[in-house]
Amino acid sequence: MRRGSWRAMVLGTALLTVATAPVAAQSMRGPAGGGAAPAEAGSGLPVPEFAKPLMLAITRAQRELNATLSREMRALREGGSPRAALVVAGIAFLYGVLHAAGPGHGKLVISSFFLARDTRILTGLLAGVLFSLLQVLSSIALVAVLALALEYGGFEVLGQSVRVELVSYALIIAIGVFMTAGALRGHEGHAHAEPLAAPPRGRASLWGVVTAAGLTPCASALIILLFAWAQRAFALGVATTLVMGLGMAITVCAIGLGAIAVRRLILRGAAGRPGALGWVRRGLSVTGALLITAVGCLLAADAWTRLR
Amino acid sequence: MSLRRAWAVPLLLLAVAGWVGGGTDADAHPHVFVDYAVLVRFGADGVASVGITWTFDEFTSALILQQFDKDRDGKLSPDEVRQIERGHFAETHESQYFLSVRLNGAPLPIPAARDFTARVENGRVTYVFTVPLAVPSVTAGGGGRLELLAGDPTAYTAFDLSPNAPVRVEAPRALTAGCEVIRDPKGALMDFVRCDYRRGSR
Repeated sequence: MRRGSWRAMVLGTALLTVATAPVAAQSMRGPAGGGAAPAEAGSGLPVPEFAKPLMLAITRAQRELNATLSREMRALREGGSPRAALVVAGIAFLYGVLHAAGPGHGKLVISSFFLARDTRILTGLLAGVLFSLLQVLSSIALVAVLALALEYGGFEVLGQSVRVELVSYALIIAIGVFMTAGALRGHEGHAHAEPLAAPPRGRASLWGVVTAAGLTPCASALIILLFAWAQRAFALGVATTLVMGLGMAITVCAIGLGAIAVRRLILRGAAGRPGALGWVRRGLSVTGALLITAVGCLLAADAWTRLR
Repeated sequence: MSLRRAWAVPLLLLAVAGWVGGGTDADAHPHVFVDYAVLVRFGADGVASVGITWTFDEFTSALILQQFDKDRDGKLSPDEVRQIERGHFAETHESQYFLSVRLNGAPLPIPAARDFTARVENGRVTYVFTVPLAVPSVTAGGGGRLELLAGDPTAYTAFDLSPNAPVRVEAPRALTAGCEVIRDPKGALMDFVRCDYRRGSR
């Protein structure tokens, strides 16, 4: 291996350690469930200290929205006015924004990709929207097939969705490993002399990542769809969750843009120093690829424990 | 350039917060919302049991009814309640019914619940059960303190004390007991229930 590769690996490992340290600390501590002292049981939530009030606030807001959404959906089902439809759409949208702001899944994979590769803003936005809508479509397909066609019970549908999740995570890991190998060998987009040859490869794996991550059904969408189905109003569920997907896209895009900006800032910083740009690029590319792999593994491990 | 740098700091922080927050738990969105209420029953020697009420959100309630209200009459018959206990409630014992209980400062193990029942009101399903906590709990000073809260460490289920009558107390005449909901003024901790009691009537 050349010296640049080593530097890239060191930078990648360092960044990865920083990024995943809270996760490791958390898994070593384990769930602080049963024995937790009541006054401290808030710390049982696996969230960093500073984010706790925010997380509780988000949870409370979600609770309110959840109650309002079910009430308004029922009202709409029992005699819909255009106003009621607008209310449902508005709440579903907000619910999506908040839902995606909570910790979790695919947006992390996608923003890791943005860290690894040069991505245009527009492409990033498109990826965020596509990913969010795919998650909803995957949920709709799952409920349509299992509940509507095969007459599974609601809890069974939720149980089966874990299998689809596992497929999605396996794909993410595969892409992550493939990208890591490529990044270590130096094929990481247009870092080198052939800017024309590289972008297609980068884009192809972006859409791969979006599809793989978007395959994961969104549990909140599943629950809304199953609720609508139980009320014999599946179409209402489909419409509601699609709007919710658009709301999710807002948050996913915001975080994705953040990742794109971070990459650009780091590269701009490196551009000032002679010789640094090459290995910093390589380092980002390795970091992003490793992050995708690591997140895929964490997600898969979590899904595995929920598999029955 | 300095203007650009001024942007860089919040952007970096935002991204790091996103990663850290995003990475800490794979599935930490709440999907089930439960309003819970507590009935603390005292005996002459301190805490005897706690009665817990879980009221589910409408979405989860619809799932439960879809699965267990087999005759679709919108009510739960004794047989359907038994099916719910076996098919949905029993598994929560593994998670200690999501309860954390501290008696005079020490965490208590949570034994198996009894007297499970379930009902439906306005499209929301409510589970009611009793957790026996019959351990000697009056300290040498003749009093004691019980602290309790419900919370799911995986955050899949979000528990919150019910807006209506979150805590009630039943105590014999020989014991004075009072319970209240403790809220963290900073909003960083979950609300919990605290009961102080002592021997002797008021």
